[in-house]
Amino acid sequence: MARLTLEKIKKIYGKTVAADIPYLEIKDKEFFGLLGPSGCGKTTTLRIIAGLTKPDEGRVLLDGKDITNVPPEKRNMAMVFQSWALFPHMTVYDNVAFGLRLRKVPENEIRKKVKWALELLRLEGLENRYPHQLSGGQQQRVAVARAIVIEPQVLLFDEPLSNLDAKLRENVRFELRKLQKRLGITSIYVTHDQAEAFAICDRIAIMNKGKIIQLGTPEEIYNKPVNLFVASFVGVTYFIEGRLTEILDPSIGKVLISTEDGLEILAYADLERVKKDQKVTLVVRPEYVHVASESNVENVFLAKVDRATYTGDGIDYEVKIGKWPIRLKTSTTYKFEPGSEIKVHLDPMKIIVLPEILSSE
Amino acid sequence: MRLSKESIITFLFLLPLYIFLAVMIGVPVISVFAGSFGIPVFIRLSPEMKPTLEGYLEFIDPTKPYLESLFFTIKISAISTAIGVLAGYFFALYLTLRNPPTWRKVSPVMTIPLFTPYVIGAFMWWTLLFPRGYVAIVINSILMGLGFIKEPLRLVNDPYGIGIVFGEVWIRFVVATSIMYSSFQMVRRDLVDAARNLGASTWHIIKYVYFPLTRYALIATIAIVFLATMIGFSIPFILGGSWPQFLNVMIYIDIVKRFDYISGYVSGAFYLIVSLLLGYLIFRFMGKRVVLQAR
Amino acid sequence: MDKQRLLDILVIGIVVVYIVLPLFVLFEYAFAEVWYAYQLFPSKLGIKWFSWVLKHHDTRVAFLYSYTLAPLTMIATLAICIPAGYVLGTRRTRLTAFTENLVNLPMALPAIVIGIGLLPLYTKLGLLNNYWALLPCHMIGAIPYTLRSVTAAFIQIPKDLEDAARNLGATRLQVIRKIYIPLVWRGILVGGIFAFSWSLNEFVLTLLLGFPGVKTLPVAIYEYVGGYYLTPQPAAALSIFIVIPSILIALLLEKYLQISLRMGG
Repeated sequence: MARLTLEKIKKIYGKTVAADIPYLEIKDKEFFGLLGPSGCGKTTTLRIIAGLTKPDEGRVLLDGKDITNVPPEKRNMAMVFQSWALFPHMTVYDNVAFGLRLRKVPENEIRKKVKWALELLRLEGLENRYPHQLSGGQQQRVAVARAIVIEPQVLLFDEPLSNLDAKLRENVRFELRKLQKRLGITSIYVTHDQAEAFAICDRIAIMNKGKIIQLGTPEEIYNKPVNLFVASFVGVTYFIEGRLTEILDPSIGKVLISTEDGLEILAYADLERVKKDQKVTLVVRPEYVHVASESNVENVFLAKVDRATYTGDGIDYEVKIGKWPIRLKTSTTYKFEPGSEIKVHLDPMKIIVLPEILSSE
Repeated sequence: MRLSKESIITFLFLLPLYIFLAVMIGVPVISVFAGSFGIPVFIRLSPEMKPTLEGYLEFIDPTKPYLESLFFTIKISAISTAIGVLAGYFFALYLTLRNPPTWRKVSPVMTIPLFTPYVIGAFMWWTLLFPRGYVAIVINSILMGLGFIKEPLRLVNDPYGIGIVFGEVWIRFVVATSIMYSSFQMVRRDLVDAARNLGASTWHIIKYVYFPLTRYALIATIAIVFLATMIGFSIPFILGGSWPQFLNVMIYIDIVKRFDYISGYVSGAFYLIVSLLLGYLIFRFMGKRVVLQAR
Repeated sequence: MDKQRLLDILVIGIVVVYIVLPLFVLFEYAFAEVWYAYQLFPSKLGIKWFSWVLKHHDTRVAFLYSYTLAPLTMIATLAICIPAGYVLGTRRTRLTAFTENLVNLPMALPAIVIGIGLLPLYTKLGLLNNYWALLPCHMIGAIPYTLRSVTAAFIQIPKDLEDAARNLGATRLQVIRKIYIPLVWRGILVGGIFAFSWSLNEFVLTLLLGFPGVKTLPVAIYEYVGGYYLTPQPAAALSIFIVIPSILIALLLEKYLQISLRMGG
């Protein structure tokens, strides 16, 4: 069992709060993500878990046992570094065997385990190469092999794919997730790439300025962002500011939002968080917007086409309803010219209503 | 080959340097080698200067003092190098691994041995090591207190070169620390983190990460310190005993006090050969290798 | 204060004491007006020895010689090293690579051997006990360091700066004045200061070729210590006059030019 808990963790450098986490629990066998922009504290948190950085306050618990004062070399957690940190003066075999040798595992055992790890990561035949003789993708796999071969209780990943090219990154993501599910090791993955986190992780904590802003599954975070920061960090987002002028059906949260330039938009809101006459911001993602059809009655607006970008599989339109720019994507059957006016439908069931206003950032 | 403007400039700009080197290095080297065979260059410094192999025969004669002096020079240089480099190596490691904040405020002191003239440094160690000196008092009290010796030891101007070692280590320790520290700093921190994460204790990290990645820097440091100690004059001159003496002090005595020019030149020739060899090894080994390793 | 910090302070403390000890003793002797054999520390401090030492004509002359030879060495060394450094720093040919290695030669040669090698030449030309003849001697050891510093300064300048300037119409002299000098003056200054320092500290060649006619401070210091070391105080007092400027120079270099001659900063 490897359940990880962080309690009241604080780490401050000078005047900057690097990490401030009152409570975080990562479940056994979970693939947990720490997502956020650079400097948000995700790597600091990972390093605190690994024991490479000591927190100023707080405790780290593994299966309920306090390991805050256990030195990193005794924690039995393996980390895959952003730069992979392969020992340049050792062969692939020696790199992977390193942790096992330190644990005084007998050599024939080591041979078997290393072989297993290399096969798992498709690195057979490369045992005697040196890191500089390998491609980026291969080096990355050696780093993973080195981590899993010691059968750690927790696997830590610090942006391990950022040095790979985009195409490779996509493939490796799935492989990592497959591997983790197969081995069943509790894993924590740090990244600034939202798509990566969504593809790999079971649950994600979005961090900013050292604090966890939202914790949830990828679906929860995408569809129910808790504030503007999270909404704009995940996916393509456009905002429309307005005021909640009418509550149409309190039992299901159906409301009417009015903008200052006279648009009236239908949406569904959490009435615990927003009240009548409150200033709100609507999150409108391209997939909430469609070319209006005959059957659409509500939320149909006249939009001026600003720009059309051909993306191969369709066309991306940047349009304006009133003074608000939004985006939508259509198939190539529609070919609207910039400057023309079209009718668009905003799906009221999807629009997200947030109690913040943009200017308060 | 047409002389382009570029090569004329290159030639002209380097000319003063080459002329200087030819006169101030070329001439002495030739004079020493020639003089060792008794061949006078420019002027016959003494009537005995005539072509002869006597000087060399005398040098390798075991009944004569030169061989003993040469071995003494090498032995003391080796001891000083060993102590200085070892101490510097581990101190640099300590600073790299612990990165103590106190050090930042206090590290300017390292400039002291580097900027103190050798004569003065040697002289100061003399005052510390002569029977009334602080170091002599402390060391002798401890040794006598523990019963290892009955009478106070002579720590300077002594026949074992103890004084010389003290003086040399004082300077070489700082140099060794300096070079090894910058080498250790070039070792990527994530390698250290990775090793620790995989279970390495501090000793393992030294053995498997720092040591192998800075091997060449260590070799270069040993060579540099050994060479510098071998050719240094002031310290053995002031801190050495009446016998045995460093070879270069013998040269000084031969030429200035005994006017025995040939012997002086022969010793000089040996010195030249040994130092040039060492120097060549250093500059071949250093530079590229040292940096590549630590990457 | 936890155990680790205590260990830090202990280790660093030992090292600092070890390094500073000779300097401390130097100051002790220099300022010791009354110090009897049975005392551990001087009983009276004062500047008696400084005035004693300055009373001697010989020492005053030694002062003069040292502090005039040093700047002269600096200038002469720079005069040779700046053009050479420019070439070595901006071109890479077999000749420049060879020169760079050749110039390191003086660092591998014992000074005494160079001295005895120069003896016949100097004797023949009557240059013994000659102030000006000592100048090149002081330069020998300085050149490798100075040249290295100046070359490093020139190497830092991207070659295209010169090309761009020439392309826009600058003559070579203008290029040097307007482009190089503002960018390399630090390296030149550091190199010059090395030469100055080296000259101040030069002992062996001066002893061999200048003594007794020309005495610099290191030689004068040796004189006080040369016999049976019965008078360390005047030697200590004299030494202060070299040690303090040397250390000040080192600290100044660091503070104002951010040249890190030490580590840990």
